[in-house]
Amino acid sequence: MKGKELLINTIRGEETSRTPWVPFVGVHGGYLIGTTADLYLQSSELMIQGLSKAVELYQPDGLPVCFDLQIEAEALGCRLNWSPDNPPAVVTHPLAEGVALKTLKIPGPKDGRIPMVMETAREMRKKFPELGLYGLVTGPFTLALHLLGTDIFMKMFEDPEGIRELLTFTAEVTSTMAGYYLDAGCDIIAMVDPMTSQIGPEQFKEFIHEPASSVFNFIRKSGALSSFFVCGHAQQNIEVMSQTGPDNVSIDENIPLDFVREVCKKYDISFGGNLQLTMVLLMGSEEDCMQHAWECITTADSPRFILAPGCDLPMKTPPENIRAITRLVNDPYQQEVIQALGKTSSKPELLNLDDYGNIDKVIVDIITLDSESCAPCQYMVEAVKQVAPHFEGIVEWREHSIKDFEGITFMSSLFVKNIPTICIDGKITFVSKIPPKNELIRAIQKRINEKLKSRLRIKPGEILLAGESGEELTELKRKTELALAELGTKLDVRIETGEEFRQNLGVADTPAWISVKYRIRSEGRQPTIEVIKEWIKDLL
Amino acid sequence: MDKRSPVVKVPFFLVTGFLGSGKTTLLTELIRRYSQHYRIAVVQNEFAPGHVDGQMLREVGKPFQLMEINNGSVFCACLLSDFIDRLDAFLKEARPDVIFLEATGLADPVSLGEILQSPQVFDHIYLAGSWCIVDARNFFPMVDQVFQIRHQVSIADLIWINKTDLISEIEPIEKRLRELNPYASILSTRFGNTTQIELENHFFNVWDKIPVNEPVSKVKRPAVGACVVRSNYYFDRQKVTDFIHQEAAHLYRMKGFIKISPDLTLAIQTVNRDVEIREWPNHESGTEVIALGPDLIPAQFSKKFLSLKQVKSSYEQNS
Repeated sequence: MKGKELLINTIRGEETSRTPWVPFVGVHGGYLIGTTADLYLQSSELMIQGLSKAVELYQPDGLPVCFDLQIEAEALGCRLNWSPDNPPAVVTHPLAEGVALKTLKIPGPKDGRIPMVMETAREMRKKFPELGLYGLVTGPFTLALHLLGTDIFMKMFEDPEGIRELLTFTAEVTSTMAGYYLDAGCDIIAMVDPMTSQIGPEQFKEFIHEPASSVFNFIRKSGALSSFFVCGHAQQNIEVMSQTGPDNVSIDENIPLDFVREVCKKYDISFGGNLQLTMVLLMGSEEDCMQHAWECITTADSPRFILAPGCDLPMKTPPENIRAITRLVNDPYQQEVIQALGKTSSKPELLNLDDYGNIDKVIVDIITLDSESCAPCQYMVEAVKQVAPHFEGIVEWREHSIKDFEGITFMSSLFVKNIPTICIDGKITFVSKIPPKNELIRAIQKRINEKLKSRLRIKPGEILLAGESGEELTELKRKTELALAELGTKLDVRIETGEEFRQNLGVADTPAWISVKYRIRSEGRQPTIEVIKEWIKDLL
Repeated sequence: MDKRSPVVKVPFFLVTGFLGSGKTTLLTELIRRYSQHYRIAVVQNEFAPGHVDGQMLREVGKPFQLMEINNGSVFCACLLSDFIDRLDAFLKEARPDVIFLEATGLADPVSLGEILQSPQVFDHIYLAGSWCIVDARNFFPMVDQVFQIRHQVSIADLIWINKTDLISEIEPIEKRLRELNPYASILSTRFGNTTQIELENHFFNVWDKIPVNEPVSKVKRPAVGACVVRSNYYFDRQKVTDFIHQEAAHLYRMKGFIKISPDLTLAIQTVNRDVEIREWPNHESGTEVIALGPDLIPAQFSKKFLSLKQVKSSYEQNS
């Protein structure tokens, strides 16, 4: 189950197979196709291209047709200031400039950018019949703020009747827009009213309850589903928002998801959110995004949860961050990996692996979730197991499961980011994909060759001749020098005659011919005791 | 020993306050008095309602750098990525000694602080402080009407009560401000009447101990780092208390609010090694902490801080 069906089932509280995923692509769609926000939001053709690209890249279950809370305001006479990187900003407020409320007309289907946006919705409906399409309408309070400016807060105190009248009008505009979107084929109407986060629950009940309820009633009567979107510090209002009758409440990072879940449970509605926009999606890494998305899913801990950012994606959000979340949502195995990594609350002390692999053998490490329960990990371990015997004892392999702390420490120390991964002598070699046998053999052989080369570079050893001084040693020295000459090589030949020396070396009888091999294992740093032990074992 | 040469970072002040409170007047005053000595830059919302864009500032007739932004009255997290790019370009071009951002009345100061941690600008600026201007005439009832007024007051280092000549008593305002913010310095003023000393005390406060008469650009400043952490999790009281004491030893300042349970918030402040922690019933949003210290790396600080959270975000756990 996916797309529209998954979303609708989640909102209705029916059975689903996984958490639905709705990345709110607004002007970010413009970024995906290399255009600016102002051009994007004024062209149906560009929006369709951007949204189609988002469908291709992010495999979402749902997308908003257009994330721009200025469409209604513009159609009602607010002047906009366009920006290449953001949705436009309302810069004039007609009601604060002498325009009378009664002269304002509900925008018709041909006013402002409304026809262009509805054209986008219709085309998207045709092109992606399985995609959940959100029609975003500006909520009554935010639209009233656009029309009147920030004076609205003072007027709520000074002229409550006037404000109620204004909100009745803006709610009608909101419902009318919702109707246009539904006619164009949208499945869910999201009423976005971020400015309600500025007021308390008492004021909300006094001013917003009626108009918001009228919008949700209209949507319900039209046979569609609705969502109440808010952003900012709106925790105090979740309860009163739920009482206006939406099918879903969607929030941003300022509100704890489990709090919202409990309130929504009480009103038997679904909820969504609350991926962090700036610190995680925009500035974080792919791994941060996956971990954070998983945290949202597990904190929400509900079949009625929709995973979504807290608001419109910032235009230049790195697409790979959003794709990472898509992978997480669709792949239970990725979820297991993130879960395992998330269990370590403290950062492991990194091992010093500078000298790792500096022994004669080639060490192949496989970092896995757990080869017994994870199929890709199992295949990767099998691949190494099959290849290792080809190298007759030269290759040693080890599995490190990140379900153990040791595995996580090892993974972090080698800077491994994906699971499963093969490292050869501490170097990340195969990430996520299971290497074909030949490729794996080649990679190991390459490492063996490297080691051989480096061995050729090491300082030659020397020869030690131990015994009683006299003829037997002279003879041994002569033969050794002859051998060296015939080999065309030069090595120091030292003679040791002391009893103590012989005993130290464990020479039982003389003359004894001893080879001494020098090998620089580390330079300019202090190796750890563990590493020194490995080198010692190599000598035994 | 750290061999890196000290990075000269520019202090960045947020000037918050509701519409008409006198933010532009304060900035005008700062430019008038200090633009001879410092390259002052102002980031201003070109189209904020009621503002006469940069015109009022320009009329002072003194040199300063102006960056106009145009995000209208709604300056929320989703509109900030563009701001980072523009700020970055502006910093390179204007090379100011100090920046003031005149935030709109509805701007979330914590979100603004967060974006200064963007790698693009982090090496060039740091969040030095947040000043909140309060309009004495309209403080009541607006403070109870609009969440962001309370929020801006709660995270400010310095609160100026302006237009005090237009009201009869100031005590109720001070009392309410104290309920929202236990630690901020509160000044009552009409900006025209602010004494030189008052303004300078606060203007220079951030560069602790830098002589007032020495231009900032000629003084070697430490590589100050600022970090803003926000979370809607609850935190372990013992662990955060230990953490605050530990961190205070090597930070210049740390302040904010830490949620321990739905009913309990700690208001904290450290100045050098002095630590103050008290229970605070009046904080409306989640955990918000701002730290300022030499070579502070935000990612490391927030990771450490967030590891102190309780196991679950635990609305359930506490209810």
